[in-house]
Amino acid sequence: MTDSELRAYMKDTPALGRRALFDEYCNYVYAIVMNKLRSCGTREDIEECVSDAFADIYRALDKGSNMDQDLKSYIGVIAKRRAIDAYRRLAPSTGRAVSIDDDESFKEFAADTDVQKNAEISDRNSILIDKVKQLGEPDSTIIIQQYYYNRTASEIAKAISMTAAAVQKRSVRARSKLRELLLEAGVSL
Amino acid sequence: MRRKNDLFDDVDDETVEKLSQEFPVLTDEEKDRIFAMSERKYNIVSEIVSENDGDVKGVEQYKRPVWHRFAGIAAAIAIIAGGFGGGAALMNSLKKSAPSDTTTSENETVDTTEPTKEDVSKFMGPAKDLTERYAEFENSIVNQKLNVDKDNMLMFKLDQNDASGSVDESYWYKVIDQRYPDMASLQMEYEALYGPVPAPEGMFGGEFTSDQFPAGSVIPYEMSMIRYMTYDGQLYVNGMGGSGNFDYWIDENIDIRKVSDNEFYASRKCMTNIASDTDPQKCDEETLVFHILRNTRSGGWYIDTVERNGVTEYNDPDQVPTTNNGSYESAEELIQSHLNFYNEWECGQVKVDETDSVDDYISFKIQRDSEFTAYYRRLEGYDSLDSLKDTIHNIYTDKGFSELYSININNFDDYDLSSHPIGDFITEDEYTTVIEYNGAVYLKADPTKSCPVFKMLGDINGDQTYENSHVIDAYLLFSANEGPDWARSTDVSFSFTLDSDGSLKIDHYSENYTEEQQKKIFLAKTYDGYKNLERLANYGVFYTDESVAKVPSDDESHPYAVCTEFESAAALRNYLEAYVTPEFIDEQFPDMFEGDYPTFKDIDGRLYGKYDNSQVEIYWGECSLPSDPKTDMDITDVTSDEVIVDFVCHSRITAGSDSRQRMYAEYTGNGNTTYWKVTGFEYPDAKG
Repeated sequence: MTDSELRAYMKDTPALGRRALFDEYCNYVYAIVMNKLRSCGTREDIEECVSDAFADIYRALDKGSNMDQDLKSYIGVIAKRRAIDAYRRLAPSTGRAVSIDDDESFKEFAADTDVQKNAEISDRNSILIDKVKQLGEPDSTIIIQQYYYNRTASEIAKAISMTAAAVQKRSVRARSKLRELLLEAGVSL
Repeated sequence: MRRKNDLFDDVDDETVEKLSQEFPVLTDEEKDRIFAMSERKYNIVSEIVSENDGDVKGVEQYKRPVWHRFAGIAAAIAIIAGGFGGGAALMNSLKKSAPSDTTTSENETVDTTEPTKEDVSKFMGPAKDLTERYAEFENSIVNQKLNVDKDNMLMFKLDQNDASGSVDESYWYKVIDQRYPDMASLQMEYEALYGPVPAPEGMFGGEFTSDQFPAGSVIPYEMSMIRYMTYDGQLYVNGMGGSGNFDYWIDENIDIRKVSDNEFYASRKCMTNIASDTDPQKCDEETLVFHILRNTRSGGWYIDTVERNGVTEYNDPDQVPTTNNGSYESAEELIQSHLNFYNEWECGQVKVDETDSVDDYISFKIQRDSEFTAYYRRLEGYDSLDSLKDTIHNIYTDKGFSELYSININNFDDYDLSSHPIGDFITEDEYTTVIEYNGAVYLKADPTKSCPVFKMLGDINGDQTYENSHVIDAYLLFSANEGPDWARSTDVSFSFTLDSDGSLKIDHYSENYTEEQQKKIFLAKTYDGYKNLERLANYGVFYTDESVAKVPSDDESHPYAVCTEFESAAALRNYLEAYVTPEFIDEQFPDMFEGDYPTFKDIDGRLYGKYDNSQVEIYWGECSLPSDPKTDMDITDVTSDEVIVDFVCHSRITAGSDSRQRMYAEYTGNGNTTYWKVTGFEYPDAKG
């Protein structure tokens, strides 16, 4: 569904439109929130934050604002903002001090001045994702779900129709293989 | 490897987007739950906005719904207790906190006569009191919403040898709720509702100390499953979330049905926090039916049972239903078990490679022309062929199993190599698919199988019940080494039948490909064969360092190495001709086999190929199969035997760098592995 179709859908049948928008972008928003809260939030906190972001998105679209803006980037900005708010709230309560380096808003200020570092991070990530994919399925999914999404072996097992024991075993093998692949590509862990 | 999260610590926006697209993680259940939460939040603020003419004031009255990590701790503990003997000591420790059974004699009641239509108003008071306290108990204790000190958190690691290793760490928060200073106060609250009977096992855990389990130490899996424990004299609540699904009473109405002066039923409607199947924007309503008895000695009332939608919640742990002897209640559950088994079976047969740990497999030798090593990979979770057969019998009829796996379960007994030491010579007859060896079950690791297709349940499309059978139509997602195998993902049918033991089993399975889908599958395979040809012709041959030999080449940058993929030029040509016409090879790749320095040539009985490592990298970077034939593969029929196939190819490495590719193919109908052969190939986006 294109942006304009989604916007029209939300206008004509708001309830169904919201669901369609949610289905289209929930994995995107979840990945954004997970990226920020992985280290300090529980799964419940992350789901709360995703739902907060969507409530914000619905309200913003109700107002009809930003009609010309690309929907995905607009949603990305709202999700990121919500995630940063949640991070500020959650990080101290789990004993993590919030340093200036950790704070996304400070990073944003500094973003343009650190182009080289960003490029390095981007290159590293690109290699990482490439190598994870080289592991082949279901190992790629296991690694991403375990390390990016903090899923447990039994949750992954359910998602890919294997037993938890088999997932753990494959995960151990996949990690070892990934380490080799990354070292070959010059990325150290 | 570093700490668990370090791998993805510095993920940039582009990568986040890519991950969300290529590795979506949310299950339907999670989507429904989060969507329902977002709707509630949206609606609350929308209401406030409309009430205040657009001016948002006040605090959102949104109540955080309970989050279900697991269902029914008592049932979970019952299963664990049955499955893991090592936890017996701990289970005894847990039981200490429950009151002894002797107290149940105090509950002597009840003259159970036929229901009457007498005045029931005298029951209204106790019914209201008990249901309100039930709500309070569910919301605070069962749903684990007591006040806790979040800064005072205990973390333990889980013994990964226990259970399934389903969680890695166990978090606990110190309870600072003045209503419940200790375990005894929780217990009293429980008894005030349900009478002096033991609470469900695992709800109120035992006493532990930091000497036994220092913070950060490894604890048994069972301990991580209890809800409340006393640790160094302080009450702690498990951080993994509550397990109840009560939210609030919808209204004040209570229906009373009197049984006797000392016994009645009270029904009251509640809102749950479970998203409705029919409308995920709402949660389900439920009517709870309380069976309430009077304690004839004390005169007080207590809840005997609570029935939700026809299912009784027992307050006596002895009555908690446990697993049902391996038989399956639903056909859908059976499909899931089949897929678990199938995937492990497929995985078990894959050839052994360098990433396998030594514990995974055993090997024997077979004397052929030269010595052949026969590998067997361990099939997890079985200690004997009998245990394997039990699992199979719980899922399949004998016919169903032999149809799906091309092996007769009744022949399993013949396959036992326990008398041979590992590494010993075995005969060809003994080299069989499945064997028992020293208390474990092993599957032959088939050297020809390197890429198992994993199957996952996508959707259930339909469900038909016949006189003696049951058919479920489903959609299965296939996944192979290259990622999602969209071409093969398909509608399937499972037929179930009642087996001789009276339970439902899978008796037949079929994959229902449409003609269009079949065509796409074969054409996708043809495309894959062509991409392999392209790689080999561009020196992207697979070789090992040991195989590099000093054979003269006309091109220094492309020396020859022993090709590890094919035995001879003829074998390679034979492989390629299954996918492309011979004329196409000769016209498009004239140097492949011809000339003084062809790309491939036989030397002393081995196949040598010119190699260039960077070409393998390029091959990996490109797509090999189109991502989704539904959208990325467009077939135009030129004649009845000729097609043009347009692909949109998504690069494996660079997001957004899609490319178009056009394949011309003709129908041959007599190939061994494919029915279509490439006659031409173009890159419409290529310049020059």
